[in-house]
Amino acid sequence: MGQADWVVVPLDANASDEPLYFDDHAWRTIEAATARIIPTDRQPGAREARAVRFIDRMLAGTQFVYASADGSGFLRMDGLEEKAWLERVETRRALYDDGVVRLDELARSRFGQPFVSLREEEQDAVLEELGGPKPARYRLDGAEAGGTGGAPAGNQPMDEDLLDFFSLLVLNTRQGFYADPVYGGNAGGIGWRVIGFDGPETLRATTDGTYTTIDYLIVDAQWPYENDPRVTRAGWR
Amino acid sequence: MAELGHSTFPMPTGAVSRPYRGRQPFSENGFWQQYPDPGTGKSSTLITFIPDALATGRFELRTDCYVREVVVGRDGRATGVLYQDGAGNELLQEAKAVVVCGGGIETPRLLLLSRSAQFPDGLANGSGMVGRHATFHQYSFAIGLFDDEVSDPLYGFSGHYNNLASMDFYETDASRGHVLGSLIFPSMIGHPVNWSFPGRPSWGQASKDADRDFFNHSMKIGVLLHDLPVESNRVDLDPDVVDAWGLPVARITHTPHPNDYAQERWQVAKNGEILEAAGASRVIPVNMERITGNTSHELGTVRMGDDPATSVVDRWCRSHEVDNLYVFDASVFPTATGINPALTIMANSWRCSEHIVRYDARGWTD
Ligand SMILES: Cc1cc2nc3c(=O)[nH]c(=O)nc-3n(C[C@H](O)[C@H](O)[C@H](O)COP(=O)(O)OP(=O)(O)OC[C@H]3O[C@@H](n4cnc5c(N)ncnc54)[C@H](O)[C@@H]3O)c2cc1C
Repeated sequence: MGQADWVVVPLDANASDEPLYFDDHAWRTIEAATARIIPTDRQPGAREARAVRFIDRMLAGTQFVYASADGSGFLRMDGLEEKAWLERVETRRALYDDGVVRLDELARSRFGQPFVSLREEEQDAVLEELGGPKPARYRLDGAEAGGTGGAPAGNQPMDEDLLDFFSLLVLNTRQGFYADPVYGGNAGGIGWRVIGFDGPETLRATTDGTYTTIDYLIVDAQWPYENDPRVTRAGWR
Repeated sequence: MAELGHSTFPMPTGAVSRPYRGRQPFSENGFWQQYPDPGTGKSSTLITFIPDALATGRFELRTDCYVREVVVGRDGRATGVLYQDGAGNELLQEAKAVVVCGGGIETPRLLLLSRSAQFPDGLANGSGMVGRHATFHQYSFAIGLFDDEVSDPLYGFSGHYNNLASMDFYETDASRGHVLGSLIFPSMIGHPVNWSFPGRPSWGQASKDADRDFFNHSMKIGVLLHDLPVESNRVDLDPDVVDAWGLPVARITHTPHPNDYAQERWQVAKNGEILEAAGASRVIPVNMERITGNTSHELGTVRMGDDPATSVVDRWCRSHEVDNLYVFDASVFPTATGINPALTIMANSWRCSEHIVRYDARGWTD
């Protein structure tokens, strides 16, 4: 069956803030780790965005994979399509299950307590054991070795299937901060606001045409745009 | 660009900008780049040619069908295709002619899968050229980061993915030390989930700061590499891995030609100079070593040519060996062209379809 014919199940990834896959301890451990990956500062971080819920829904099965275009629910996969996705989900579950155990082992051996009970600097030290030194502030004139964030995805989705636990956790936290809120993270568009992405209020707004970015455009500019004084004038906005 | 002495033009976009044949322009934002458009603005085949074809009453669309073999008769002509429908039924569709349009990877794979006593190395592959000369249009770019204390936000997310292009570097210029060139075009770096740049701090406060400082203060200028066809760059059948239907998957073997590296390095550096002139405080080259296989244009694997020894299909995209077998997709490109291929693929399909109707179909009997 083509995706257009898939049944829409009226599911809401945000219906509750309870885990569907994780047990309570894993939920709190991953939540704490996400909060160190995108920390809360003068603006909200991964904790407030509910990145842990995004990750939990991703691991819960195949029911939260394809949001319906209007955001009213999720497409019900079946057959080979679902089988292939389940393989992926199972690989990730194993990485997260082992990852939580590993975080606690490192936390206990270094600081004598489970990961969730550590202070923030201690949690960072545990994460550094998995992912290497915590990146320093990016400087426009600094050496390029600042961080391990790679090239943008370009025209392709990123391949998540070959990542180790820490890299997957970092990527999933980022997705839980920046993906559409329909998937369980980026609560209320928090992540988007932090970076100044004026995204759609709801997925529906992207399908009924009410989502607009017109305020950012010079609607009647004529080609060649670079001759238009409003385009070339620095600080037109 | 004008200041640097270069010309630009507005990039043609496959979308309607005013009502056209019942279609409505959808949105000024580029939100549906890489996704199906929920409206009727974007000119995908699904809302353009397919409805027209259905309206003739002479076209039937069978979705979710997976063709595993083009079958041939004793006379060596194609007699139809074997396929599985969405419910898993194996079916044989008889045909007077078969036009394969599976794309640059799946078309050679299907021909290679279609082995028989007459065609032991795959259908229409007597020359051994099926799957060879694969080109990919590696998409590389220079990224510019702008200092938010100096520059205003660029808001790259707000418009279409790209609006502007230049062909100034397309023709060979011997002084650059390589042949050929490509279209170049500026764009945003990506929507928030995909936004990144090499060297970006990946976690912690530094990561959040970098996202916040540069998301709206960054852009890139891309190169659609005009890569050279090399015989050993190829698609063939994987000896080990099978797909969900138990059939060998396509295996891709590829090493860029030295000219590809040279052309790409030069152009990415040039794009960086343009970004600097535009005020970027930092330019980051993203060469192909960093993004191996960033491509969405798979071309050249069932080459068109006059010589049956070095090509698979003739100038009308009919196979040299099987006179009622055609290939009408990106596989037939003899060279890559350094521009986006969709319009050329479509134009070529029209051209060759017309030729079938005018000439070849006359010989078909019921
Ligand atoms: C993200 C992205 C962005 C792009 N942007 C642009 C752009 O801006 N401009 C541009 O010009 N080009 C662009 N392209 C490239 C362009 O879309 C492709 O080059 C073009 O669609 C290829 O056409 P094709 O007919 O060769 O194959 P396709 O369009 O890939 O069609 C092949 C079809 O065959 C089907 N198929 C394959 N195998 C089988 C089988 N065994 N049985 C049954 N069906 C089968 C597939 O499902 C598919 O529908 C982009 C591509 C991508 C992926």
